[in-house]
Amino acid sequence: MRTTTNSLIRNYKEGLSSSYSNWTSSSTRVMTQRSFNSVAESPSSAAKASQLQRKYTKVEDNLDTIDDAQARLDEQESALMSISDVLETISENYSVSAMSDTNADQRGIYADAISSYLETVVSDLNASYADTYLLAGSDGTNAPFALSDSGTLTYRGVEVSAAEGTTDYETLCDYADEHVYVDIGLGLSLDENGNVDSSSAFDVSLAGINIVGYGVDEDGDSKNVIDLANQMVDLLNADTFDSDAYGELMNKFNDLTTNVSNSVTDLGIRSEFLTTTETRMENLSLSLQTQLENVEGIDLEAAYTEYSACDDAYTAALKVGTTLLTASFIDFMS
Amino acid sequence: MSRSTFAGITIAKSALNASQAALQVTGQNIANVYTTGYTRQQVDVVSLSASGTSDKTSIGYGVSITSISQVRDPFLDVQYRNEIAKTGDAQACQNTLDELGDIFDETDQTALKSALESLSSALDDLSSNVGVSSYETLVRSNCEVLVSYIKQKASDLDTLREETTTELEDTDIPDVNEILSEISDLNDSIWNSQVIGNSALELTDQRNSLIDALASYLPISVTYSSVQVSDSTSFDYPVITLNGADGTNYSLTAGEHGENYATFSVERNTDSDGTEDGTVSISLVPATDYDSAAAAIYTKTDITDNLDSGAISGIVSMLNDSGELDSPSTDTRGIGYYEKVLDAFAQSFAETFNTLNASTSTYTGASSIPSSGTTTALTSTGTENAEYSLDFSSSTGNFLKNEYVVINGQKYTFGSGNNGTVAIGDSLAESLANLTDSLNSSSSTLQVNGTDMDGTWAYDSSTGKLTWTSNDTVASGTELTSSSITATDGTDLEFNYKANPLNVVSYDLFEASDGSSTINANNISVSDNWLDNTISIISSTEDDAGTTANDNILRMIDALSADRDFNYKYTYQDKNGDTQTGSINIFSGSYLEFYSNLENVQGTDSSANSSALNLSSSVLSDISDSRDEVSGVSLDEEGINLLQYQRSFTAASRLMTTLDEALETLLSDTGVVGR
Repeated sequence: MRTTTNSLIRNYKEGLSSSYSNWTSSSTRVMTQRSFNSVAESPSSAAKASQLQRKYTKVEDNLDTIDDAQARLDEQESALMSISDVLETISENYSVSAMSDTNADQRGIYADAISSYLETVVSDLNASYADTYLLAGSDGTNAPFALSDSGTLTYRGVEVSAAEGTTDYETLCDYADEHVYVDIGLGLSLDENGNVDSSSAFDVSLAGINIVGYGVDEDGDSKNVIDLANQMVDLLNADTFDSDAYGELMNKFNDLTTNVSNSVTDLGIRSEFLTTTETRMENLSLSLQTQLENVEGIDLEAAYTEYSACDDAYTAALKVGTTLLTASFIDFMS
Repeated sequence: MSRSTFAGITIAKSALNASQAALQVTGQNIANVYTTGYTRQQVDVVSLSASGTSDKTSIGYGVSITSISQVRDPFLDVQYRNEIAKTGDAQACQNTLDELGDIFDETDQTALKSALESLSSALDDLSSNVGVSSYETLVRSNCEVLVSYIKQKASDLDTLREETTTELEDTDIPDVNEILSEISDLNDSIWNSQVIGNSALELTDQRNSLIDALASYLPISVTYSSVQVSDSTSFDYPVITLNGADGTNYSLTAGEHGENYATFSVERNTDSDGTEDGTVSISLVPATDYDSAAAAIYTKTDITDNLDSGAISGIVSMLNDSGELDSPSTDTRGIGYYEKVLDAFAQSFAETFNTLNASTSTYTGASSIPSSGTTTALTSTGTENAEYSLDFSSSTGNFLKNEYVVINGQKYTFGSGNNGTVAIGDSLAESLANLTDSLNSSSSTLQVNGTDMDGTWAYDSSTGKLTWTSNDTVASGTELTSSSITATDGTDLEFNYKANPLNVVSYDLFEASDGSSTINANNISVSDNWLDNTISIISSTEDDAGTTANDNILRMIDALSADRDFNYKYTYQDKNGDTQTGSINIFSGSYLEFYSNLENVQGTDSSANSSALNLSSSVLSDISDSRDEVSGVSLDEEGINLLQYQRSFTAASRLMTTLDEALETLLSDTGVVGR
């Protein structure tokens, strides 16, 4: 085979260029600590990395949402605990037995005390977090509960002690059935009508009327703990104290107070669920980070070894060039 | 037989000549050792014999130089030119694919993919904080960022297309024409040299280099045609042919000795309405044996689809082809593919979010407004009045500000009641009653059977009828039909009501910035209504939804991650010439998956083409080595030749001296016996 000067030089140039190209890509890998720097370098790894990155970002979003939901839940729990404590205080301190041997003045004082407690309860029912009222169902920007001058409680403008069959009662039922779902990584899905599948998202709303009750019972007494307490206040303020009626109302009041306590327990369970989900999502996040690192990252030792090899090859190629281009038969002619 | 006394000197002289020529050719080879395209030359010599004798003791007459020739293998040229065409094609595609990679590959940059992820995060935040305006602003800002990335990519694609087309127009095609022109000039020069006996080897090298350069642009083949100039002399010239993909061959050189050449041109294609569609056509006026200019208009041929290798083919396929989105599909996913995919992305995104944000509140403007009324038909007994009535009994809603009606040539605009406007009442009935007053003041005269009659308008809310009744009775015997009462200009009396589009607020979150009805990647923008807070994201579609209800936000979050079909829609004409709409499914998946897929398609295409280019370059390098093995200059060899020819020259000189000494003996020392 004839080897000519030109082909020698051309092949040397090509070899040197290829050696330099290897050197730059291996040095880029070491510097960026990424196994590929463009999709074209490794389409399959890039596709996998994209998929993992998508999941990772979503999980991080979900964790943010969980944090937010947890904070709301904590505030809701705190408000309900406070309400429950007040109601229990009323139940304990102003029982029927506590009213025995009391005169109208004393009962009047008790009535005022209960009214004050009730104002505290209403204030707690309007607790807010980050400009959102926590017990307002899906109407979080408006304070949900208000006590009218006559002492009756309204929820979003509707009297809570509306009798069944009335429009107000229907409205209250609708309000009680509202949900505000957020995506916490349970696989958010919608049905064919575009409504959220309740098991695929977390409901952060809490309609206060579900806690303190609404409507009236078969006796015509309010099923709302505040209105009921106000009825008790009316009895205490009456000239003649009806102990039996008061006792009956107090029994109902105790039942409603228990409902509030149970709601606190419910919230605790929901909070626990959030914590469990958060732990699961954090584990998933870590796992995704590891997978992403495996796909995109490099084994630094291996990459540096490769870089050193490329560096040696390039240096050697440069050295070869200096000898290659000088010698020919002509140099040795005399 | 006897030989001339000085025959030996002639032999020595021829040897000196040959050696000297060989030394000079060696010098020429050494001088051109680094000249691109140079072909190693050699001195072709033959020994001179004494012809025409049967004497077995005859001696030759030295050496003769027959020619100075090039050492070249035409088969390697063919191989080289075939391969360089493939390399040119792959290189042209790679150049564009690299640019596409810069636009779409987001491996090491933050762009559209991260904007989609940020939008999803912002919607998640909004879902927990509905009613807090800063969170909606965050969503809107993310949409603006996303839209700007889409537009930037679309604009980059436009620039890439324009630059590629301009390069074809201003560089590549002119380059091809220049090469052909130079080849033609060289054919002339070589011919003229050859005719006067000069082999013109250096010019031939130049021509070969140009043919190689031409082969990188186009799929060509070269044959040699012989021209007989005398009984004993003929010269060859190259005939260059463009090999079309369909087997058609086009002459690129022609004429007596290849002095005529073909010319190429490129045109930008336009669609039916005269707008450039981004594609190009390559045309060729083939070379003929006649004056090429005269034949040009008759022989211009479109060869766009007939090129299958070479850089021009690569560039054209990148400009014209859209791969599977062409109908029928093509092999190359060119710039068009990415434009169409990006358009489908933008369109689907805008449509999805606009649909989700569609207002569910009822339009309160008037509807079912009659466009005309009827004349009460009768035959007058002289006591009846003419009557024309418009029936509003099934109309709903109310007129809105700035809406107007035209009746009897008069325009009545609804508004506050001031400045000549008709006051909008609390109900449609009230508004019509107000309109009645205006009608009575300016349109009380109508034509009955072509005769003007004064009358009075009145609105009866119980029947919903707006009626005009003539003040005077109609003459006895007059027959009135349903169309007897007309406007004062004799035309049919109409009630032209047009709802003012300004009153119908669009809740579209995205719109086309150029006012077009179709959103694409170039014109997608966040709607003005959203930007100036006229509209906002509809967080709930429930009736009487609370202020923090978020069901629609969740639909939007789901829309971002849900699988959907991305289709490319196109129009075509069927066999009857009717315009039909076709659709090709590009991908099924979420928006992020769709973009990742696009990234991956680009990466895979680039990777595959890069491999093909590397292979082709490697083969080309091997062929170049083979060519150099035959035609290249080796300094080692030339050094040896120097020694060899110098020795040969020295030997010939020694021969001359020896013969001279022998003759000296003959001439000076002969016949001097006894002297």
